Amino acid sequence: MNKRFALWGGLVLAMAVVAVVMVRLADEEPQLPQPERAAINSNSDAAAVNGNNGATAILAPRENDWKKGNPDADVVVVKYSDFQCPACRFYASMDDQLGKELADDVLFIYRHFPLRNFQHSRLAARYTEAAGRQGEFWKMHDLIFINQQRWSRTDAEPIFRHFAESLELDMEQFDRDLEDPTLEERIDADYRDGQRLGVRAVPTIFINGEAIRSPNSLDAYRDLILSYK
Amino acid sequence: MSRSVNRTPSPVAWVVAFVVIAFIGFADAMYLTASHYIGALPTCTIVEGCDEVALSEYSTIGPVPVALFGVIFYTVMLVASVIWLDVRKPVALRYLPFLTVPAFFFSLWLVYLMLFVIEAICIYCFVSAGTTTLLMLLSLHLRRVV
Repeated sequence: MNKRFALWGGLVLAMAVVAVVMVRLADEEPQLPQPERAAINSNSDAAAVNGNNGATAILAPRENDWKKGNPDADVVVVKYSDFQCPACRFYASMDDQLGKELADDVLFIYRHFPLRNFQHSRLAARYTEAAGRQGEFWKMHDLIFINQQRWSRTDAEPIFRHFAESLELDMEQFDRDLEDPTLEERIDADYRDGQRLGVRAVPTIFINGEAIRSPNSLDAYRDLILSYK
Repeated sequence: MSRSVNRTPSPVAWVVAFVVIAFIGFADAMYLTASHYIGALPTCTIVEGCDEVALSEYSTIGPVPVALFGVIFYTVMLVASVIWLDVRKPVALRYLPFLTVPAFFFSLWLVYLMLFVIEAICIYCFVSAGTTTLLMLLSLHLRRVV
């Protein structure tokens, strides 16, 4: 009887301990080294950064932001994103859809947060920026995201060039812009802003200054956006 | 094997090994399941690389995360082993291959998806594939030695 008790008790106890430890581990968020880390906790539904003036300033729409939608909209969606991240591709397609549906009510803003674990993220960001100088940021953005699986595991640059050519950009100007250090600086500036906001995963989406828990369907995303109206 | 049973590890040792491996798998699957329910949609993070495997359409069957099936599978393995340790009836372990062999092929399928379809590596999924493989081999062995 004792042996039986020990066996089953041991099993239940051990499983319970393992379960608790694993849930704790899964719940633990990696800490960012930045001292100015905004109060974002992706585990809470909508961690507010409202109280943080620095965050509010960073998230305010800027003249040179890449925007889509109504500049005077009540709802502003700021997204920190990476071109090679598959989740970002997923959200880009949702943003594209909602950008059309809610064009009058929402302003979508794209900011760069290229992760270092991806080989071509930064290159992709530079290509969109260079295209943006000729007014084609969003078209390049779309081409790069839609074709993500084509270029992710291969030599991406010829494919990006092909996109630039297909947009009939002035390639001489494009090449000059690609080499322009201010282009890289802008991407870095976005990245640093993201770090200050506590972005540690892409995409991180802010609606009217609040970091939101990434919705996992188009309907949930639409409802969430509309709840800010 | 059964003829030289004196010189080979006792069935108990094999079952204990089975329990240990099942625990590793249980912990792993528990972690993934917890991540699934806690973390909303897994995104690509600075620290961990990309969790696109968990994001992909293959990470759930209907509304149920694949990892939860893992939790259930490893729980069954653990309970069966403890039943044997308790009552020492071979029947407790004899039919395990009916679960472990399909689980192994399911794991293979997941690894294939990970490498060639989703094109992303999820270390936890590899751990699970490893434990599933070992459990299958052990369960095939156990049904002969217990």
